[in-house]
Amino acid sequence: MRFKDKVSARIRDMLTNDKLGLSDGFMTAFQADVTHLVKDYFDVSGQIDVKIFENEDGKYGIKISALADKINTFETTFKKKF
Amino acid sequence: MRKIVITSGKGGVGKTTITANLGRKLSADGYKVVLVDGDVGLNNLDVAMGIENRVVYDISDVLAGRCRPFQALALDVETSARILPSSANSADISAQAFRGVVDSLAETFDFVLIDCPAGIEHGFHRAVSSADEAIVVTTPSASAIRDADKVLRLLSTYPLKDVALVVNRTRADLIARGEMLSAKETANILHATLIGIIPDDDYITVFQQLGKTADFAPSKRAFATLSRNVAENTRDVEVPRRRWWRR
Repeated sequence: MRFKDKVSARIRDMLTNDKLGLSDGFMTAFQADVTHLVKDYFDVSGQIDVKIFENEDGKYGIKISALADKINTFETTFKKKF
Repeated sequence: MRKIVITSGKGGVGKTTITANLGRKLSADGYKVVLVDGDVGLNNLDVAMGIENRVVYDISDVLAGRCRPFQALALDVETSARILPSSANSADISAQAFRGVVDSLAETFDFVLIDCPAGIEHGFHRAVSSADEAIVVTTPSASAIRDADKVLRLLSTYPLKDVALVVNRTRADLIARGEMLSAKETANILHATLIGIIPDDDYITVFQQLGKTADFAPSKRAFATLSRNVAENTRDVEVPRRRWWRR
């Protein structure tokens, strides 16, 4: 990544945080909730990375990335036993 | 007839310099121009225009009824542009009173350029609420862009006809090396319409100490483009060329 691309990415993150009023507390709470949710579905290995960014067209993107060892299997409805 | 505020949020990005040079260019092109120092208390437009010794009255005298608006106007040293100075005594002027003075000048002049103070407090509101259009000045630095973004968001709450962006102090050599954001990239980040790109120019700094403009300054062409865009409502920006004499 070129220097100015790093600067550009930093500024975009900064402006996004300003606009959303994203504080450290917001990101911590959001990350904790996302982690809790994702772990219900996957056997996550390592940290879940959560990032909010602004696209070229001014829309906000939410990127959640994580690695999982396996997908948790569970049943969404009760099977009736006759 | 057009009332344009030149603002930025961050201090030291070149609002007063751009107001002075834009005003002079518009005046040289035949328009009737008046520059109003909205940066009351920390007024410097008179110094930038080289008229600090010609100031007899200022905006506070107009509002106190000690003189008429036209008596307070000082003539620029280089062009026929007029300047309405302010002073430390002007700090308590209300937005309504300031707007009244600007409106009275707008009846006679083609362009009223208002030099806005740094920050987003009362002085900002006073200057912006007097205008119909705004030019936001920024440099390609992270802190200036951040403040410009805040100002652009604030400006969207005012009933302005047009808001445009000028990127000041660009360095073509750094941009070419990928070490500085270009003006277009800066405008892209801010989602703003680019109306001017002013290159970093030592001659501006040197000659402004005398209140003058250097005829041979590399930025002269950039100000001509900016002036044309403002006067004709066009958006043709010219990317300054690399300066071969200084690497």
